Amino acid sequence: MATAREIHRHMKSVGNIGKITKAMKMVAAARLRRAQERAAASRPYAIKIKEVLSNVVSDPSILANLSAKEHPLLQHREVKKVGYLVLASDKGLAGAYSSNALKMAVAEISACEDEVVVITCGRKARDFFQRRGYNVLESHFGFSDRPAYDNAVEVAQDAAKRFAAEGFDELRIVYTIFKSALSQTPTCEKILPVEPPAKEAGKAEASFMFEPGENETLSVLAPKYLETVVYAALVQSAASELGSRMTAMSSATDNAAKLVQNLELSYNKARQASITRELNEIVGGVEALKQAQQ
Amino acid sequence: MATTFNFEIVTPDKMLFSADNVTYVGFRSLVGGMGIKANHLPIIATLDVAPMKLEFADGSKKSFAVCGGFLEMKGGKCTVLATIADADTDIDTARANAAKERAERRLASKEADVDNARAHRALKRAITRLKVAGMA
Repeated sequence: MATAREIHRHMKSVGNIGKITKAMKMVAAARLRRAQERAAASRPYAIKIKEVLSNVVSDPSILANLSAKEHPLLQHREVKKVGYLVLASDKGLAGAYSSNALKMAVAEISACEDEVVVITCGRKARDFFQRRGYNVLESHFGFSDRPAYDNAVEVAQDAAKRFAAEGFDELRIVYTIFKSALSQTPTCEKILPVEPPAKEAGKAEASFMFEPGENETLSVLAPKYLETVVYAALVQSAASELGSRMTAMSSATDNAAKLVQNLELSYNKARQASITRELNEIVGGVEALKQAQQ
Repeated sequence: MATTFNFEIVTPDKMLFSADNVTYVGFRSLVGGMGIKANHLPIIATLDVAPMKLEFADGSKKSFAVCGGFLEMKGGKCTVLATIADADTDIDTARANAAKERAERRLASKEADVDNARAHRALKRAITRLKVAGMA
């Protein structure tokens, strides 16, 4: 059995770990709140741009007559190569967040029969796919828990460029939808070529004038739309990461407290045992002396 | 009194500005300057990097530096979707000046590694901001 001193040392280190995880939990909670606010603030823009896009392509004949050169993002090609844009975290200690997203991505990739290329966001995703020998075209990182719109622009423009250059014929995004701090669901969605959203039924829309024409509007709108889709995914993933980290750190703190309690019990036992032993020795010594004197 | 309409500027980060007593919006689309008043036909315009001027029912004015985006006018409601937009009162002139000088230096240097298109864009943004700040 460990000595009282050893147990005491162990207790102290577990207590310190508990303090750190508690601090991390609080940081994650504060950041999560901000991430949720940001997600809410970005929604009006995303909804509006979707609406504008559906107004521009309200007439399906517009889509049929597009030239591939002017509208590379709307171009449907025969799919030979599929790109996967995988969003995971930069840092660990977020429970199963990254591994769930990556598991989902691997399942999707292995179900895909075409050639696969990968673009990653977040260090964990990059490390994972590089180590396993996937064809990683590009890796973005450094913003997984606080994405700015500029980050989405960077990711979207890079993806758009590769798509236009036929680096892949279809792009799917794997990200994590935030439901609550306890529940996040990884999902996979197709984002390229851009599919204009269907118009909501029953909404009688006025026909719009375009300044300049539909074609020019569309060529500016399509990349912007892609940016908002990527941004929404980044924001959702960031909230999921923080939620997951908060829950993980919260249970780590609870576990540390429980461990300290158990250690305290064995510490007290060990301490009492050593006192009893010492007493025994003293009493035994005194008895022996007495017998020797007689 | 002129008829008013509802006006909003939305950026990816937040709802930047909203008012319901706007009488006139002046802006520049990719093909040229234009202005709209209440009861304009439904329109979707693609915006250039340029100042956007608002006039309110009480006669006051306000300008924004809008760096590209879209304007949608539909049934008494005008929405501007801008990637970047700043109100005249929020513009940091010192920063805009610095950005302008930096962009001009880049363009003048003619080195191979200078991204000309990017420097041009930055210059245009900075000039628009300064213009709008001057209006306030």
